[in-house]
Amino acid sequence: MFGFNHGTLYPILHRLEKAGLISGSWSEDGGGRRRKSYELTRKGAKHTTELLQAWDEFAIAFQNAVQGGGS
Amino acid sequence: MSWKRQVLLQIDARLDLPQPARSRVILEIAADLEDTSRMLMERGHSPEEAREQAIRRFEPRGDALREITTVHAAGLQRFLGRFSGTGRRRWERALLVLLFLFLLLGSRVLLPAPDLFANAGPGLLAVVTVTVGALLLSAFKLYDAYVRSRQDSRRMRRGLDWILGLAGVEVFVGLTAFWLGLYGVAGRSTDDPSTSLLYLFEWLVEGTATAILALQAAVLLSLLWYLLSRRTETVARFEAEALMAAD
Repeated sequence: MFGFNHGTLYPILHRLEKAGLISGSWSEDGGGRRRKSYELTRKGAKHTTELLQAWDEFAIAFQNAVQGGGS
Repeated sequence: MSWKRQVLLQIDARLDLPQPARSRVILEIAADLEDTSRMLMERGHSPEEAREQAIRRFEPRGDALREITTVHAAGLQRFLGRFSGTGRRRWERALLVLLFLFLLLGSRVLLPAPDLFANAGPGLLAVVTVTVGALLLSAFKLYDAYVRSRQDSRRMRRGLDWILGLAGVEVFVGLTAFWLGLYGVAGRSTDDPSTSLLYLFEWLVEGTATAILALQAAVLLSLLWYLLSRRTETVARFEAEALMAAD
């Protein structure tokens, strides 16, 4: 069975944070426990939109190629 | 020793990262281990099961640890990382020498015009000796604080206050040389009052030149001490936070 190690996410998150695509912040709950959470920055949101657009274009082109269409 | 502390200490030993990045990573992993084990226990897992699953899920291993090190390593450490074993130590030594030369050159630029050195009195030798000694110590401390990949606040703190102490010695030497010179002029003027004005001017030039050099060196050393102290405090704070998270 596929077992996902969440520890592999740390370098990915930290790399994205260094690139300014996400930002991490520490918060503390009532019990004094600290937790780090991440959110998308404006730069990250723009980058995500660009990637999604590129993916959409690729998907359409691929679909056209498979169906034998194309314009 | 708690299980979390044991796991975090193992990760810490394998993370080849400078502070504060190392403690930040440890703190994040500690928070995730704590959260996950608590969540699993709330879902009905036994403490042992919850602990094992949390470790299995969140303990970064092998490639992930190396990748974390790569992401956080400073430019200089990434450069040094290309050289392994003895090669790397050679490069570190070369950088230490460069750092010292830079400090020496920097202090020469910061210190005033060469004629001050030429005009300075007998106290100059003491000022230069103390300055060179203090700069050498500062170079080692700067290496510990900024170049060494695994900083240790206790090692960084060792001998650090000597730099400030030597800055104080500089002030003492400069001012003592200044007033001793005046004392000498007074003595000679008593013997031969006709030349007192000449001696007085000679003292003014020698004494002020020595005092200026000593005070400039003291300011430079105090700044270095301040910089290194701040860095040591930061490293110590992150070490303490990581230890608290592990408990």
